[in-house]
Amino acid sequence: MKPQSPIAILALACLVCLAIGCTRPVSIKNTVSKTTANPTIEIACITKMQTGEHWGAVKSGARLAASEARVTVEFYAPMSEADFQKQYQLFQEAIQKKVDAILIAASDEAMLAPLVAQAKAQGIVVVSIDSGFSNAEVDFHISSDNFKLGEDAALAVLKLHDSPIQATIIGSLSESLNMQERIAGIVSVLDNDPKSSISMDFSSAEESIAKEIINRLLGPDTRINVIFALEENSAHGVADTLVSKKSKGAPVFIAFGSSKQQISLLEKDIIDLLVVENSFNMGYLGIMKAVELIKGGKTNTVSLKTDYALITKETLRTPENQRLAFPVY
Amino acid sequence: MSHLRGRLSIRTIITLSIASITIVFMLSTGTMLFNIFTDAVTENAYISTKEIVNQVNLNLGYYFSDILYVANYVKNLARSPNSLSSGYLKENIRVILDSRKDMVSLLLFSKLGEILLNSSDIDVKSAPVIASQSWFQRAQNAQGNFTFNGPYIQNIYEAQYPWVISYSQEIRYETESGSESGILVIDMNFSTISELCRQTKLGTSGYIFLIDSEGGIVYHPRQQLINSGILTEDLATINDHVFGSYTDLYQSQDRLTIIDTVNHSRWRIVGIAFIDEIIARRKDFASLYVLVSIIGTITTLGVARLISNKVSSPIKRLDNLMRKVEAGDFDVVTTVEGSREVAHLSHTFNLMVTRIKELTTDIIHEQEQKRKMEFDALQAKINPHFLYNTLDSVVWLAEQGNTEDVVKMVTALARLFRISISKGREVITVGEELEHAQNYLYIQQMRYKDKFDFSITVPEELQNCPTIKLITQPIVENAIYHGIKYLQEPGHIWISVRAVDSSIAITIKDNGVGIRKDILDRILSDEFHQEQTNGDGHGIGVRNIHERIRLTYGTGYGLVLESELDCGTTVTIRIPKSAPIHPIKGVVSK
Repeated sequence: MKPQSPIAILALACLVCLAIGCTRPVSIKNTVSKTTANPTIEIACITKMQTGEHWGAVKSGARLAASEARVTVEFYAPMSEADFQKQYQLFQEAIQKKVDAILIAASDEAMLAPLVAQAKAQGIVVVSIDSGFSNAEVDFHISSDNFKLGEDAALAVLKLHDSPIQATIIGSLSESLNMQERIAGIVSVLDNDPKSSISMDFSSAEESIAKEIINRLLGPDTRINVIFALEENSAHGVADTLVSKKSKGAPVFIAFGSSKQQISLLEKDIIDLLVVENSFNMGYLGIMKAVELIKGGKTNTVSLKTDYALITKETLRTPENQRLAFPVY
Repeated sequence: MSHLRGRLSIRTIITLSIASITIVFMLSTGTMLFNIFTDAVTENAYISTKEIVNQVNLNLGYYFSDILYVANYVKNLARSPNSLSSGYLKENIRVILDSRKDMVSLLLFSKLGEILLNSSDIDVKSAPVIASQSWFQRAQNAQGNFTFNGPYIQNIYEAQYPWVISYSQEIRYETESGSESGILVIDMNFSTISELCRQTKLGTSGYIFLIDSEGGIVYHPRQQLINSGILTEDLATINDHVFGSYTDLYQSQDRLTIIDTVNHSRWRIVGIAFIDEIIARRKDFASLYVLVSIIGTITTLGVARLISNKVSSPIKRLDNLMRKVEAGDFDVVTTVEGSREVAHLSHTFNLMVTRIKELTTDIIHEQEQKRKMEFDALQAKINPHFLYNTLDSVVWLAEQGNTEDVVKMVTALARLFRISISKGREVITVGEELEHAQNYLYIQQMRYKDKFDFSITVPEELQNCPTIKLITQPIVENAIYHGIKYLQEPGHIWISVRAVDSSIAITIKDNGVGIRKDILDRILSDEFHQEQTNGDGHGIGVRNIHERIRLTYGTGYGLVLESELDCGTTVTIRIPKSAPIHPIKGVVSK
């Protein structure tokens, strides 16, 4: 053992301390920067279509959640809800990109079901929002209780209009589970009255198609006295026709959604009842659940129901309904 | 060594003491500094967080005072005659609204809700709708004081739904017919406030929200989550504090809550900061502290170990040397270097070992001398005895008149003694040694009247090899006295010499009674020798010869005894084979 070795080691220790002292502040800076906090988590959010206030609210919720959880969220959607092949393609692409999670609002749930299984097999967390799957096991599902939405809307109709009820339902796509559930909810109530009759049509969430349908249905000798429009674009189309016809004994009009146009129509008595969902929360909770599941969290339940309200012209401006119908993001 | 067990080594003691003192000192200083630092960091974090909330509050105050300023301006304008009907008022408020994005609308209504002045060209809703709204009614009931309302969705224009805060007040305005009173309403864009609050972050995820005088939430950055009950705020506790700050644990998070009242309004601003975040630096410092402590501890242990090694290793080496000395190795020499004390110790150790070595050598030498003297004494002891017997035999032969035998016997005796003396030499040739034995045998043969006969064979080349003297005769004597003497039939003694490898084996074989096994096994041992010498004094025991050979030539040489009862005994003397020497002059083999 040479006599200078302890001194050398002491000097080395001093150097190490000095090095640590100098480098540490840099790493403090690094921990504070937030954009790179979860750089690995990437989530694809695939909605039914690109436009619409409902989807805008969903995306806002997702964005807030993404910034809070510090994850990256990319939004994908076909231009039109009718283009569900495109949605299938987007889902496939998301799987190929090997994202960590996919939020999906399924247009054609039967068509997408195999992809859900494929994504899960690859370890991708799949969370369905807005509209679920009847034949595929997603990791988590967040939406309104669509059956109850239909039921409540139909019950409200019974108060607004006497029997017999001749109802027509205009939905977006018959392949969407949320449409099927809403229709089932309405039918379950109205079927209790044997004198009532129900017809249904699908607009592919296109205003013009909805308009055509309603024009066709509301002929001079129509007996339709209740109209359900199950999403905002259909409601806009139906309202167009109703505004132009504005005649005696206009049918009771129940619309799902909370677009500015719908609210305006509600105030003008064209729409009698608005069924307003909490779209924002679907997006927010969808991302939060996905992040939780990616990080290995265990959930006791596999689904969550978001809140909703039935709003009339009179109840539009209550504080609660204001907040739901005019969300501040 | 049992008393040393459980005691710590010097190295351990030094290591432990240095390390413990240094580590304790380092850790206590570190902890103290850590506490001071974190206290400062925490205090700073609290102060800066409060400042941020204060700043937002100030901005909110400006926002409201701006409205008041605009409202006063409008009120003053309205008091000037005909300002309303002439359109002068409208022009002026248009200018104000155009210059301010945060102001949505400014309107004047009659006390029935009819529109008198509209900052916009869009139609307003009908009088009953206006008059039923809360800001209208509150202004009517406020006796000329201003009220703030909202936030709520504006309900003045068709199909427009901005979130607004309304300033409303009953004011007087001049018409041609005199002074009238109306309701002034200034609607402010609520998004200005929400933006201001939203963009303020306390730490990384701390936030600011507003509550009204009833404790209801006016604005919250996560309003949607509050509405749905996903997120809750501890409003009960907050409402207990008019202003000030407190920390508490809410939903398993340590939070700092800062509450203040907003000027000109009945709102209160609430800042929520998560303590983990605002004092995130403390965590960094804590991990740094732990890291430095670990490195410091390891380094200290290392240095302590080095120092203790340095101090203890010479001692340890001295200890090892001492163990060698303990085991009997006195040839060790220390070259232990080190501190002055250790060098001195080492030097003294060397002196001590050398001294012990000298003393030991002296003792060994003395012992050897003593033993030699003992041999000499023993040798001296037999000679007179033998001489007496032989002379007795000579006398007896002379009386018989057997002169020939007398001459033979005396000649043999003379030769025996000549070789015995051998001019004082210790080493003689093998030939001389055997001649000595032969002369002895010859005398004995005469005395015992042909009780036995003998044969001696020595190869010519071994004749002059050296050997220590008088090693064969005692064995032969034993063979006669303990072996052959008790035989009925004639005895025989065979002596032969041969070279085995690099040694010489002298074999003395007899056909005597043999030696019992138990005695044979002990015959070369110490005790047996003791018993024999203490007993009849007969034996220059075989052991003495054995010892002498071993002392002279080393432990590889000596005697080997084989015996079988009633068959005889064979004794083999083994000595090293060395270069031939000259025999003593005058001794001539027969």
